[in-house]
Amino acid sequence: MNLARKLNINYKILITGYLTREELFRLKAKALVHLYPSHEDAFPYSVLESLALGTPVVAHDIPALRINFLEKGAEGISLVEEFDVKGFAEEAFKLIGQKASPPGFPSWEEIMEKELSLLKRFIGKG
Amino acid sequence: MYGDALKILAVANIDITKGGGVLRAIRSIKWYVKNKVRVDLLIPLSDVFYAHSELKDLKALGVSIAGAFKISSIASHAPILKKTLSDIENILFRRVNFLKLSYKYSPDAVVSFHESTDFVVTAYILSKLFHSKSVSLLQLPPFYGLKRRAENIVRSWFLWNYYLTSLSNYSNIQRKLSMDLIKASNLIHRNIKYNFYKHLDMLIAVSPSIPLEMNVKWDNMVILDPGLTLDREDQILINKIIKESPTKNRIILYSARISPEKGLIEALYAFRIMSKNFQVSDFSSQENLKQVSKEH
Repeated sequence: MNLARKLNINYKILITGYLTREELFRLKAKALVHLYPSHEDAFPYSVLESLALGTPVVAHDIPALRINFLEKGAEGISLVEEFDVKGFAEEAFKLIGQKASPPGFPSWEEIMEKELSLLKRFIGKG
Repeated sequence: MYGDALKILAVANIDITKGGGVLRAIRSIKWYVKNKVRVDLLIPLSDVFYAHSELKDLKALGVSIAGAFKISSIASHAPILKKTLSDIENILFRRVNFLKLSYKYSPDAVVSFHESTDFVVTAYILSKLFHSKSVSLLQLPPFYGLKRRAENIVRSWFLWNYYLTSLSNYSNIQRKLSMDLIKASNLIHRNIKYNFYKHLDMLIAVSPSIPLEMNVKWDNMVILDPGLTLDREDQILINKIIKESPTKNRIILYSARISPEKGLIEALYAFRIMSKNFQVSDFSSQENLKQVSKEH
């Protein structure tokens, strides 16, 4: 919050703390755009949830976001070079009002079937 | 009850406030149990105190709690206590097979549901103890083999420390030196981890980006593509919210863990640029965002 005060944006920021999944989803659905400048990820739930709720996402151009979302045809996601803060803000502006949806992924059950069968085969019980 | 079913000893975090990796681990464990896998669970000691509801849910499904590790996790804000507890744990772990004393059977595999070294090493030691396989789910790259990626992550730590700690008072030489030290230390850790993870029995990566960022092609690694998605519960909730056609508020959202790698500093700077040219909601009047999120 000190940095927010220094940047003179503290009165425009509200830190929610922990929200239940329903509260979080309702908030995501009402947001114009989701800023997700993560440098480290594999497959962020957070991005997937926002897109599924119709909220566009601007994120860093790192392999996790590029491979799992952009290259798989997600709508309403824009990737920006890491540390390009101005470009990040510009892309976020452009995304406001745009449609968003995640790529068509298999179901959680299908993914888990695969994980468990891999494990069983490896151990010799499959 | 389980007969010849698969038996695993799971080493996992269950405190859901720690992020998406924990959510996936819990969902995975629940799915295993519903599909007749016997799961005994080893959790960080702090989760015993802070993850009551998850613990209750898992127990209700039939997950047994095998014990707790990372004793030092209960003292995350007290460095001296943390060190002492960590030492005690090392002595216990090395000299007394305390888990084996209370454990009546051998699991088929000891599975770490996280990539971080403390979880993976614990799973590995236990697998040796029980003469079973050691498996680790990689929910993030445990190290970065791509130079640029590794450097950018160090840069994000540096940015965090510059703006939020006393690093801004350092001279340029001191800053350069501390960055070089972090890079050197990362390189040493990377080499140690490379040789350790390469020789584990099985690694399951939850995204194709993981081996790419590690810059490895290992025979012991399988890749789930994709390795996660929304589960049925999430999907039902999302469909319900979308059906209500929520109206957009003037909210720019940052939703991620508060840590250097998640880019909070950049988000604040980007938000400042945006808010200069765009009217966003004003929270100075004590407006409660929880109410905003509940409005229909």
